[in-house]
Amino acid sequence: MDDLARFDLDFHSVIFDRRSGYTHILDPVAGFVLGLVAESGQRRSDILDQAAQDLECDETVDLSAHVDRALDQLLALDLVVMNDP
Amino acid sequence: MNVGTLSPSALAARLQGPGLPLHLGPFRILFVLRVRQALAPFRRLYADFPVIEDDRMVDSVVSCMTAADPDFPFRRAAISRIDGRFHAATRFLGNATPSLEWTLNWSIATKAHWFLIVHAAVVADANGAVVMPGGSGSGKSTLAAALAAGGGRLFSDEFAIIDPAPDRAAVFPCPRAISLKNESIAVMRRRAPQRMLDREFPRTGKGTVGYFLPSAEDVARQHETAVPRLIVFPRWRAGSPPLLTPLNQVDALVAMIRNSVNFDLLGEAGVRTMTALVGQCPAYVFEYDDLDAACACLARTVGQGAPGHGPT
Repeated sequence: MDDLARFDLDFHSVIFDRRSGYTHILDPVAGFVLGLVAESGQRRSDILDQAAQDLECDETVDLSAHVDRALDQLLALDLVVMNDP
Repeated sequence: MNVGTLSPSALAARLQGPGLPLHLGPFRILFVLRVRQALAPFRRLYADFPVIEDDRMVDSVVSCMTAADPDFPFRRAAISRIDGRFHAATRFLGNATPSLEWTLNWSIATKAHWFLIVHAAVVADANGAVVMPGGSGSGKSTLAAALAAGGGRLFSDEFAIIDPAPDRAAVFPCPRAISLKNESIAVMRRRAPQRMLDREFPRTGKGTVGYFLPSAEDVARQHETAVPRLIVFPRWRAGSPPLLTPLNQVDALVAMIRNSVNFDLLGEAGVRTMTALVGQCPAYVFEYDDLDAACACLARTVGQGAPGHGPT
C-alpha cells in the first residue's frame, strides 16, 4: 500500500501507483474495497466479512458479487495481491 | 525598465544583438529577434514587461532570425529556435511574430515542468480565477479577451500555470498577448480597439492572426497568483444562450488531464495537484454565442461560487 498514493474526489478515489506511474480512478466500491484490503489482509473471505460488518446493505444487494467485482478490478489493475484465488 | 521605455533603436540593438531578457510571469525568457519586420510588433506586444537587469540566468532562449529556408535554400525564411535548437520556419518574414509567439508557447509547454500546465485560458476577478481549458476553435481565446476587455485580469491565453504545492492549487499569471484567429479579430476590434495590436498576420498555418494586448495592470501584477474558482470548457455555438452544464468531478478530472501538457511527467505531484484543483472548483461545459451574455454569466457564477466552493 505504500506504493499507492490515494486522493479522494467526489466519493471516488484517485490512485497514483508509484511503481508503474499509472493513475487510476476507482469507483466508490472499488475504493472502499481497496481500503479493506489494506486493513483486513489478502483473503477474499476476510475482506467480505469486513465489508459485511462495515456496510449496511439492503437484503436484495448481493454484497459478495460487488466485492468480488471490485477485487477483480483491483487485481487487473495490479493494485492488490490476494492470497486466495 | 520596461520594453516600452526603450527607444526603438535601443530595443532593436538588444534584440538583434545579445538578446533581451524579460520577466514573463514566473519565467525568465531571453529573446533574440533578428527579423526586422517583427521588431515593431514585439515592442507593442511586450511594452509593459520588465527587462531583467541581471540576465545571467534564464529559463529559455527563444530566437527568431532570418536564414536560408530549409526547404528552399535560395529563399530567406524566419527560423525560430529554442535554446539554439530548430523549432519552426516560416517563409513569410512578416509572420515572424506569430512564429516567435508559438515557439515561446512550445518552450513553456515542454520545459516548465516545475509547474502543472494545462492548455487553458485564465482570467481572474476579485473572486478568483476562471480556468478555461480547450483546444483550438473552442472559443477560449475570444472569451478570455472579452473577459479581460471587461475588466478581468488576464492571466494567460494559452496555459493555466499551476503551482504543484501540496496544499491548495494556485495559478500563476503569464499575461502575454492573446492570439486571436480569423473572425475573432474583428469581433475584438469592435469591442476593444485600443487593446488590439494594429497589424494582423495573414497566411499563417492557423489563418489570420491578431493580438489582444495585456493591460499595464495585468503585467504589473504578473507575480500575483490567484486561487482558481471555476473551470469551464468553452464551446462556442451559434445562437446558443449562455448555458452552463455541470460536470461531475471525475469527468472534470479526466477532461483536465486530457488538456494538460505535462500531467504524466509530474507523477504523484501532478495527481495531487490536479485532484485538488478539480476538488476546489466547480466545473462546467459552457456553451455560448453572445460575448456580453457569456461574460455576465461567468462573472455571476464566479461571484456566487458553488456550494462548498465559496471564496476564502
